[in-house]
Order: sequence, then structure tokens, then C-alpha cells
Amino acid sequence: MVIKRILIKNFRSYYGEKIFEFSTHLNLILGSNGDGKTTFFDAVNWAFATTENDSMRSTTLVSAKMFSELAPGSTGEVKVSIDMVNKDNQSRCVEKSFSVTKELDGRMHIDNYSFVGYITTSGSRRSVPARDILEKEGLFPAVIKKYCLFKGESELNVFNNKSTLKELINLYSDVKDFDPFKDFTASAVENASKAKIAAEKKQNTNNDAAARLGAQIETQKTLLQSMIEREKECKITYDTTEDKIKAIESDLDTIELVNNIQGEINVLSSERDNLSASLDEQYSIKLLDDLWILYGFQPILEEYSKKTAALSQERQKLLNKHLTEQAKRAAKVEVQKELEDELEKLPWFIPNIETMKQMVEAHRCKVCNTPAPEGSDAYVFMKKRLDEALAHLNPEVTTKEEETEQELFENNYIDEIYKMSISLYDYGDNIAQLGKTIKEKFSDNAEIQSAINERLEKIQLMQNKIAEIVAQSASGEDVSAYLSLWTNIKNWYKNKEDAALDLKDLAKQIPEKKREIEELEEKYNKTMTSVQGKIYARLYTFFNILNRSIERAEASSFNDFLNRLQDEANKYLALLNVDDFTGEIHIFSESGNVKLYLFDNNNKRIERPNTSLETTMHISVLLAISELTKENRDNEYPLIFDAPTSTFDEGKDRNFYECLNSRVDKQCIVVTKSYLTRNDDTGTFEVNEKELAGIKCPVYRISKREGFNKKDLSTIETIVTPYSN
Amino acid sequence: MNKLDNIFKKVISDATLREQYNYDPEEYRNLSQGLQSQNLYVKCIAEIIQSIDKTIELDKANSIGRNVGSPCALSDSAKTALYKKIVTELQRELIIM
Repeated sequence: MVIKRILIKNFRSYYGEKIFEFSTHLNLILGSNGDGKTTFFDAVNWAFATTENDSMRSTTLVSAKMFSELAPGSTGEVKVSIDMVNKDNQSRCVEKSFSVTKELDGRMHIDNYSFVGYITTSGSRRSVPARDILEKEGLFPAVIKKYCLFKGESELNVFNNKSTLKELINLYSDVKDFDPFKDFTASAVENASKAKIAAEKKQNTNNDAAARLGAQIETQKTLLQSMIEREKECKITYDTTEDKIKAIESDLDTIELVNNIQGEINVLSSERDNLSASLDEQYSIKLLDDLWILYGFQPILEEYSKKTAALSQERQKLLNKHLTEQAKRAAKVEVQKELEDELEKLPWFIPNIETMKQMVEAHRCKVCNTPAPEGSDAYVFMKKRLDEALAHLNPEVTTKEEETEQELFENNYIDEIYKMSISLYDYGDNIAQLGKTIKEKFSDNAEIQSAINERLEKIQLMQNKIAEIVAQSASGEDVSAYLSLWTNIKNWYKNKEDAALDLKDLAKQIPEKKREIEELEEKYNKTMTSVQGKIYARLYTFFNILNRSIERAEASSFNDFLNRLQDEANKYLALLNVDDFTGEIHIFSESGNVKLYLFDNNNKRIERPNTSLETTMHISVLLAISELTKENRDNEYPLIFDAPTSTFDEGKDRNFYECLNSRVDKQCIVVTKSYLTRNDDTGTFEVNEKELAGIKCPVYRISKREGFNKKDLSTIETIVTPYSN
Repeated sequence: MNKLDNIFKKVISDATLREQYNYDPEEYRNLSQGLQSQNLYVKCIAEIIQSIDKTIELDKANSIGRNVGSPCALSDSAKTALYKKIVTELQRELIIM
């Protein structure tokens, strides 16, 4: 199939009708960023898509400019129409479209979705379902389209997808054709084996040699089965670990780096925790428990001590004086008593109490009839006699009065204060030390706090660094999710390596085991004594050998297919890299997956080919697949690339296109920004005519119509200009 | 050479099979020649290939009519029937031997 013409109408930036016409070889569509390169690719992909879903009639496909110009209530159309010729040079067309109505409230309404094909024969054109043309007639089946349309460089390595090999084998190899035969012979081997054993048992149960060999065969078969099971498990382990590794391969260094940083953060966090635990900031408790409250009381204590000492001295003086006076008084009383004792004393009841009371009240002595004014000796004497007389009448009262001798310092407060002062004197020293202790504690805590802050700052910086690194994930995977799996990630490599080694061993051991079983079976057959047993032994041998032959034929077909693909790919690699180092593409199967590597002449693998060489290698494989399609389907299909060489060095892409045009006999439609040079004066991209002059192929320049508003999508329009060179 | 001829040629070209049953694979260019072979084993191999292909094609045709997915493997009953057929043919010869 060859694409002759593509019409794009009101599809995103392709406002109005835009037409491209193509040759059977290279076709270039040149555009810079935002000019509509990817939109072209998407339009073609959309037109060929045979699946039915909402994305096929999405409002996002509608040209904003067309819709903005629609009057309310009126209708426009979005359409992509592709004219082709089939392998018999007959015209075919597929057309996908829908209508767009601007409702009165300004909303967009989509209907009349149509996907139709046209067959032109003898000048007449009839419509058919588009799928009939694309799939049934095989004009462009979805399974082929998958290997024809590529967006960007990342999609070029089709073997990134594990189903690719299976699909390609189904499409282009006879490997799958062996499956039902292999399946049948395996089942026949099993049946013949059972029949053989049953027949022999029936005829000769006493054949010890046969019984021993039969038992050995069964044991070896069990071992073989476990090896096959183990091989399956290893393949699964290999595939799953490889998938996991692949998903994060480009971020592996990042994850390791982040993991190391995380390790440092953990150490710092632990140090911070230890420091926080040693931080002693319970100052309010220390105020009372450690007497910090007394800090600053030293001068007060000294003053207190001085004052209590002075007070104590004063107290002592007063006490001494008091005691002296007391002694004097006692002496006087003693003397008086002695004098009184020496005189004849009147009995206490003479004069009688009443008389004495009258004398005291009258202030006159009735004995000697002399006045006795209050305070005079006579009065005092009278009063005393009266008291003595009364004391006789009431002795308890008298005794009590005698005993009551008032103390000078009844509560002894000064003594206590003084003693307290002495006891506080011991504290004095401690209090003097308090300042130092408190200062040291604050200083220690400040130091610890500073160390904590230092670690917190470092942790914060490291966390910021992790966030930055994680944000730059190359694979697009959430790197942070893999951090906790770091130990597992390291194990993935080991698991994969172990699985690969096991597979290698098993690939050697399984055929050996099969041979061993075959030898045992041969011996077993010779021990057969019954005719029936011998016949079944021969039948078994036949099915067994046939089964192995089919397996070998299948393996040989598989290798033939890969070799054919490899040879074709290398042809294209050489064509696309005329004056450059290429190496040689090696395609081989590793644990059921296809591996593509470049090797040099010394059979040394080129570990990291540059991007352009890698891209060329992938495109060579695609061209090889396309060649296989041609051979197997007797049909050719175009290859459509969107920016396949965006990472090529300057000049390298032009060599590549020249080779693609002149040396590869295949229709290729390439949307690219190659051959465009920025005009520094105008700031726009212009076609480099000098470089483009070397390439003879249809070229279209797509660009945005000038005068658009950067913030208004409805002003964007891609214009398509055929470029003649 | 069609698909079945290709499979037949690849299988009978196997060295072990050839040595065991003593035939020259170059004598057979396609499946039809295999079906006419005087060598019982070559003939049986050809019959196996033809029978399996016929069964699958028949199943495919039936499944299209029933609008179900195409089969890609033989059913157990089809395998047993073919096994019995081949065993019967080989037994007849093997008893004489």
C-alpha cells in the first residue's frame, strides 16, 4: 500500500482543508515547535484507527479557529481523508469525519461520526465500511500499523514491548505453525509410554531388569519435569526482575544517591534525637529542687547573717541586763525577807481582812491612825498584808502568782533566726556556686541546641536535595516509592543474575536429561519380552523422536527468523550510515525476550552507542520488519515517523534523510524540524534551501499563520506550503 | 512451497529421525510426496501433518460460523483419534516385522 494523498480538515490546528501529496519514497514535512507536526501524525493515526471509542469523536480534535468562527446554530466538519493505492495499484480511500455544531448557548455538539472506505474501480467509486478495506482487504491492518507509525524516538525500539516478538513471529514466521504438531506428538509420547508399560506388565511381571529400568525412567522423568518447572520459574523470575529493573534503570543511580542521602539523614536524625534527650531544660523544676531560686540571694543572706548576729548580740545584752536586775531584785527580796523574819510578825488574820480592806480603801492605818496615801510605804504595807491574808484564804492563787516569772524572750525567735542564719551560712557557699552551675547548664544547653539546629539544617538541606533529585526522575517513575525498596532493588540484580545462570545451566541440563531418559528407554525396550510390549516400545520411540524433531525444527525456524531479521536490519544499518561507524546489529533471544545489541568486528558489544546510532539501529530494524512484511504478505506499507531524529547531531540527520531517500526503496513520511534554521533577525525558522537542495523528494513546510495571539487558541492555524526543491 | 510442505520438509530433514528410519529427505519435495511414501514412518509423519491441519482448518471454519475465536490447538478427542489412527497403521506393519 502507498499513501497518495492526505486531506486534513479542521483537525486541531489544521483549519480549513489542508492537502499533502506523497511520493513512493521519502516525503518530508518540515515544521518547528508548535507548527503542527505532531497534529499531522495524530490526524493520520486517527484516520487509520479502527477502534471505536469516545476519543474518536472528542471535542479536543476540533479546530478552535473553525469553531470560533461558527455562527450559533451552524455546523462545521472535522475530517481526515487518506487516498491510497493497493498492491494491485487500485485506488482506495478511507475517510473519517464528524460534524460539529455550535449550539445557541455556545456549546459544542458533535454528531454524524462516520468512518467510511471507498473503492474506485473503472472510474466508479463505491463506499464500503472502512474496516473492510483496512482489515479484510489488508490495506493497513492494525497489527501492521503498529509497526509503521512511530511518534518520537522512544517508540522506535519496538522490542521494548514484550508482545512484539510474539506478534512478529505470528505475523512473519512459521514458528507458531509447529505448535499443534508438537502438542500432538507430546500427547502421543505420553500415551505410547503408558501403553508400553501396561503391555509389559501384563505379559511379564517377573522381568526384574525391565522393572528396574522402568523405575529408573520414571525417576528420571520426574527429575526432568522438575527441571522444566524450574526453568519456567526461572524465566518468570528473570522476566519480572528485568521488568522491574527496566522500569527504574535510568533512575538507578538517582535512587542509590537518594538512598545514600537518606542514610545520612537517618544518622543525623539519630544524633538529633540523642542530643534532644541530653537537653536538660526543666528550669522551673530546678528553681526549687536545685535551689536555683536562691541565685542572687547571696548579698541578702550576708545581710541577713549580719543582722541576725547583731540582733543576737543585742538580745544577749538585754538578757544580761535583765538577769542582773532580776538578781538584784531577788537579793532585795531576800534581804527584805531576812529582815522580816527577824521581826515579830503579826498573825496573818490581825487585823482581820475586813479591817484591812477598809484601811486600804480609806488610805489610813487604823492601828496607828496615820494616813497612808496610795504608793506610800504604809499603803504598800497595808496592801501586802491584805494580799497575804487573802493568800492564806486562797493558797493556789498565791502559789501561781509566785511561780509566774515572765521570761524576757518568751518565744526565743531571735535564737531561732540566728540558728537559721548559721545553717544558711552553709548554703552560702552552694549559692555562690549556683551562678556558675546555672551558667554552665545554659551554656551546655545552648551548645546542644546549636548542635540540634545544625543537624536539623543539614536534614532540611538533604531533604530538599532529595526532593530535587526525585523531581528529575528520568524514567518518570516515582523514585521516592523505590527508596524503601532499595535492599530489594539490589536483590533484583542478584535474582536476575541467578535466574540467568540457572536458565543457562538448565538449558544444558534438560537436553542431557532427555538424552539420559532416551538411553534408558532404549535399554528398557531391549528388555521387553512380550510382542505387544515391543510394538509399543517402537511406537513410543517413533513418537518420541518425532516430538524431538518437531522441537528442533521449531527452534531452527525461530533462529532463522531472528537471523533473517538481523540480516535485513544490518543491510539497512549499512545503508543509513554510509560514512560512519555502525558496528553490527545482533538480534537474539534471551529468556524469551528479544535483545538488540551492536557489536564491533571483534565481537565486542558496544555498550552505549550514541543516540543517533541507536536511533538508526532501531529504524533499521523497523525497515527490516517492513521488508519481512513485504515478503510474507506480498504487500508493502509506508513508514510514518514523527520527529525520529530529534536528538541527532546537526548534519547527521540530513545524512540520514539523504540515505533514506536515495538508498531505501520504501515509502517513508517523516515529520521533522530538520532543515530548518533560525533567522536571528526575525526570530523565525526558515528552510535551509542550500542543504535541502541535496535531497530530491516532496517537501512540505508547515507553519503557524502569522499574527496569531499567543494566548488564544482560536487564532492558531497551521498553513501547509509545498516546497519545491 | 506452502506452509505444510515447509513443516513437513523441516521435520523429515531432522538427522535423528532420518537415521532412525533410514530414508533420504531429498526424495520428498512436498507433503503429497510424503503421503505416497513407501517408508511407513515418513508416510505417518505426512499423515499427522495433514490430519492436524485439516482438523484445525475445519474447526476454524466452524468457529467463524459460530462467531467465536479461532482455535489454535487440537482438542483432546481429536488428538486421541489421530493417535489411535497412527498407532493402528504402525502396529499393522510392526506386527509383520
